[in-house]
Amino acid sequence: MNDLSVGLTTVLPTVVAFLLPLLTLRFKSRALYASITTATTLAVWLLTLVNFMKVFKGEVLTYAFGGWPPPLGIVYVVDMLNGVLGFLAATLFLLASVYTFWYFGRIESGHEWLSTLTLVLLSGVLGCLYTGDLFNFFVMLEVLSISSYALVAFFRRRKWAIEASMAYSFIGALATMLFFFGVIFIYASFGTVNMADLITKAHAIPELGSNPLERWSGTCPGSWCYGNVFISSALAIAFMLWALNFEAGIFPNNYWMPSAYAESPTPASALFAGIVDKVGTYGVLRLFITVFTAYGSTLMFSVGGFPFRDFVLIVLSTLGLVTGYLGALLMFPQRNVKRLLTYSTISHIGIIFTAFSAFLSHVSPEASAEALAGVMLHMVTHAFGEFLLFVGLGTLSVVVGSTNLARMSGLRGRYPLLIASIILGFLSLLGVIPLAGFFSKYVIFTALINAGLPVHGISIVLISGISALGYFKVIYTLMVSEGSGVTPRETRLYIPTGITVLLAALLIILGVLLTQSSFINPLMEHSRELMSVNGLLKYVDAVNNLSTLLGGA
Amino acid sequence: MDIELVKFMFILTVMSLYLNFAITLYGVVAKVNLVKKLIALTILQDTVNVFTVLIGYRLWRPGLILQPPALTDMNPTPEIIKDFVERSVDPLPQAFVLTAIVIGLAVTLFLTTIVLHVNYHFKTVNVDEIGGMKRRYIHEEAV
Repeated sequence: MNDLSVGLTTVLPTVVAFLLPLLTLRFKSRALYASITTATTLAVWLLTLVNFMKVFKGEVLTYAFGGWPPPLGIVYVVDMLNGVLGFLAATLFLLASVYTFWYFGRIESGHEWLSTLTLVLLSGVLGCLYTGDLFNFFVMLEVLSISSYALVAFFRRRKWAIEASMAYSFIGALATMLFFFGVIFIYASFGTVNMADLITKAHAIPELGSNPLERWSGTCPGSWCYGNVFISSALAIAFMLWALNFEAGIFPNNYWMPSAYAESPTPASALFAGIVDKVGTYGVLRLFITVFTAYGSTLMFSVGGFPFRDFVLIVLSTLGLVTGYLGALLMFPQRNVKRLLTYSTISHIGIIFTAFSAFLSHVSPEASAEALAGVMLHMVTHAFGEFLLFVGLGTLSVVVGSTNLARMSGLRGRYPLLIASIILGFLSLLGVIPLAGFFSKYVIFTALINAGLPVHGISIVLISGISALGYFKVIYTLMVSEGSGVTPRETRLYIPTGITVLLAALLIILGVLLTQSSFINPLMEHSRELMSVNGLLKYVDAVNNLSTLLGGA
Repeated sequence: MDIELVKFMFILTVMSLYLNFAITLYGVVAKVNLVKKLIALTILQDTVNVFTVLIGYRLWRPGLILQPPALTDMNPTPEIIKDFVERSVDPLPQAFVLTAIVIGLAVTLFLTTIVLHVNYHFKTVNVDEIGGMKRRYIHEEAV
């Protein structure tokens, strides 16, 4: 019921993050900061593992901060969707903090600030993922954004890092402010910001006919609430989606990503590509799958005989298609490896958004559930693959002293394991058969074909084909090209090699597991439940039970 | 007081806030000077905050006694509480605004620092000039 393992995940890293700078008064040791970060992320990883085990068994976990019965206070709710992503986030943060043991030896100063900002980012990411409250989502989005701006500007003596942070932070601050504006619209018309409460209210409009969800915390009598709930839901969605698309990097809002990811320190850019851009994607999923569903929510009002929610989803998936093609096409000409990897990230986020077209109201629930399973799988496989590549190629760029791809040739004899796992990562992102990346793309592809959207389905194959050019360019440089005459500074890379080999092994193991029906069937079962009315009822019931437990109405 | 007048003033306030919102949004996006962008952004934050406070407002209607709502009874009955809630403003948006102001402070501080650093590195705060320099840098990197 009131699961402490949910509540502690965001509190623990924040407390440690605020205590860390105080330690600089006494201790200067780099290993100390890396150890503290690793210990904290390990604790958080264990907590998220516990949460993941519980949600995998079918539970919905809740935690009410301060003991206020929901919908009064802030409540965290973990179901399968955010349970998986929370565990993924903690895993990547754990690997990134282990990586800092090696990376701290390669930067001159600011170790304590890199540790602090990483922990604050962890808190922001997990807060955004776990929260069941829209206003708290805004607060956590700001925590995430501010720590990201600061991480991008980490090398403050490099002018392009400052420029990248400036481009990100000005429009980022605007986007999060607009998210807040959207939340205000929701509060004004529904009288609540609690997601479970919002689900019941957004589905209990008499004009839309009977539905299985009941009102929970009452209605707005007379003069208490303003205006038209349909228009305000649409406005709120418009404002909130812009902020979420900005964080995810969908087409018109992706201009900041290449510079920001290329200029930030390697562990931070690996985390950005791995999990931070997934937070925006998760927000969109949560809004359209849990809050404003196709089961007669307030967003289903018709505009010219066409449901408004479907219109928004069509726009989103079209933007996803544009983003996918754009990222894949712009990847090939890049010579800076980190910039190339960022375009790869952009194209994969585009693929995930393309799959949102399967959530249209006229698509069969079976195909929608399959698409959701595909989206969740692709988030995991893309996060592992992209994290591996950023760590691997980021390490090589530190070793040769440049992010230029041409200078990384001829290293295959020196770091065979590292190069081999980087190539496995590229093949997984491309979607080569035994690796996990193939199966996630395949599930999305079949779901889109089953949903009767062949253009979107075939586009995923085409986007993969175009991005193959960029991927093989890097593979060719690493494997075939002769050496550029650069003598690497180091001979042993135990920690980075260990991380990349571990992730490559994970990609292979996941790929093998995904061929087993005993592994894929429970996943499909979970996503079917998430897409169904039963899943919504389970989400609301979990919060309602917590409310009764704490003595609420 | 006339209920029509109150409604008109209410709509006027909302509309002027929307106008303010639109102007500052234009300022953040279209101005080339980073300091002007920053000023527009802070006004935008304030506009959203004032709008949020306005959400908690209860529309005055005839028959409502105009006096500060306060609970004077130490052991209130449900009727007294209901009457109190009918007249008092909604406190939750004010709590939102407090949180948003604190967050806005952090964001503004960060942005000010970034503008200072930009000025230190580029000797200008004009984004068009910085964009031109960046295009040349990207071109050099790619060729």
